[in-house]
Amino acid sequence: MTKTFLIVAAAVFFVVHGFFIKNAYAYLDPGSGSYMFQLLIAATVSGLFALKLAWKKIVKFFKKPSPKVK
Amino acid sequence: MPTSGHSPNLPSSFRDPSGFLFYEHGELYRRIHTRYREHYDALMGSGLYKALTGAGLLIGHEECGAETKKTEGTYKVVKPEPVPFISYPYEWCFSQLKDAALTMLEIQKRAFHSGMSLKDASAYNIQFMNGHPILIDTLSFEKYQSGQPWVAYRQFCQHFLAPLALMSLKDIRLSSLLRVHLDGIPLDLASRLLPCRTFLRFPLLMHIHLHALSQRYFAGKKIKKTNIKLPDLSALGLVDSLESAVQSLKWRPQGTEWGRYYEDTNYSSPGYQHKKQIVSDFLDTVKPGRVWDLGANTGIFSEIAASKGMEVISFDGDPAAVEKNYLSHRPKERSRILPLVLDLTNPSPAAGWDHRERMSLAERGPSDVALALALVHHLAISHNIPLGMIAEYFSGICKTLLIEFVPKEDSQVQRLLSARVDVFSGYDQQAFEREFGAFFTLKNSVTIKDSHRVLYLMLKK
Repeated sequence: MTKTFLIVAAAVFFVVHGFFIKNAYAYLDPGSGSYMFQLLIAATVSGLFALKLAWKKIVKFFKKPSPKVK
Repeated sequence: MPTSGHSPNLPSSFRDPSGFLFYEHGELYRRIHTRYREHYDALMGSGLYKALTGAGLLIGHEECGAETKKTEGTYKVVKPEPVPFISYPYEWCFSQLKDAALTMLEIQKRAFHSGMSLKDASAYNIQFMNGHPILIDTLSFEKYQSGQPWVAYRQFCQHFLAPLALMSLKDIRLSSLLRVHLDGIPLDLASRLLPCRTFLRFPLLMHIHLHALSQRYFAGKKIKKTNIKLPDLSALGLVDSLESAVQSLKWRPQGTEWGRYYEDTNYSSPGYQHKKQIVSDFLDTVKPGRVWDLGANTGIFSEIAASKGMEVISFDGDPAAVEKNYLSHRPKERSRILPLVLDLTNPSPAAGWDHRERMSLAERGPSDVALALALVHHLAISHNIPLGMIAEYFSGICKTLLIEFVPKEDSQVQRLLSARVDVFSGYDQQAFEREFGAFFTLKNSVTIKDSHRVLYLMLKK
């Protein structure tokens, strides 16, 4: 459990360091940590959401239409 | 309701640069500054305002004409629909906070589809009206800047997700942290308090634990804002992910002290019915508009008042009782009962900047009628509060008091005394009438059938 977390955390910080921290001069507060974090998780949340939408479409396609009331 | 010093402005709305609330001739108004013009026009022009108010998600308002004084920098003055009672997140039960969170996310989703976004997600902007959560801050919206992260993400996690996770997965009483941390529970604190198993729940791992790590990592560091633009799918995905996280959190009321109280009283069936009848008759005598039911448990007696068209705030210190009370009325389209968690021996204080941002319980009163049924013995004997002090406190929060005196012979009092020395020699009916008589005029009293208990109707002097 702890191992999984450390791997994920390490991956996050690698991405943070490698891609976003280039030139630093603005002051930061915890809100900035949240701002950066959203950039980091953007791909994950987009991907999961796209999968969810696709799954819904698949379910809808195979779902039998309810019989019409005459 | 308190105002800001000598100014008629509401002290809870001073932070927002878009406008503020103020009182004029006893009516509440909202002044909208010119700098907020484009956002207000977008809210009204996009159809979002109409859709949200129509769905009961956003409070309605009327734009005021020339009759209201407009100062320099004012774009418009609007008159919002009045909120009958302001409650705070630290007074809500689990499902109330959860419903408020889902309401906020639903609004954000709808705003996004109208080209707008919430610029804050404070739980204090949600209130309960007719039993349902509603956003009361019309100025929370801004035009969506394409590709920008959600500025209210941190606030949403602190105000909603963190407390809900702690209440659901650690201890329900941790909602009281909201009373200390008025801007929501800091995520590093939530991360430390949550059980280790929450690292395995992906939404909580992401939105609380890693989010807290990110805040810690970037605190004190200097960054350059990137030119990266997030795709729209990401903005919707974030809200969807938060929604899933909130939906997955559950809490079932169990094991608290009052869970089975109504099934464990010493009333006979006729005695219980008699008590209900007396309460009903007393309420018919007074015909109040607003009732505070103190120590309401699951709200049986609140329902009597609500059935007569009265607006009832149903307080209890037990989160399980309040949860049951809320869930039982939630399916109704319009409920007149607002259940809230409140420890009467330590009621909500005035809090925030200058002690004026959040009102104390007393500042939100007085109520027309306070019901104090099967309560006085708990205050006097369990909590050692002298009868005179109880009477004085009640006289400050209501105009009329409907109170039940429970004498020492009563089995419930005997139960309270069973494990302690009886140091309450002054606790009897004569002393009760004398002490309460100093603050109230006794109008009527009836002994409940098959018991030693007496119900009193008293008017504040």
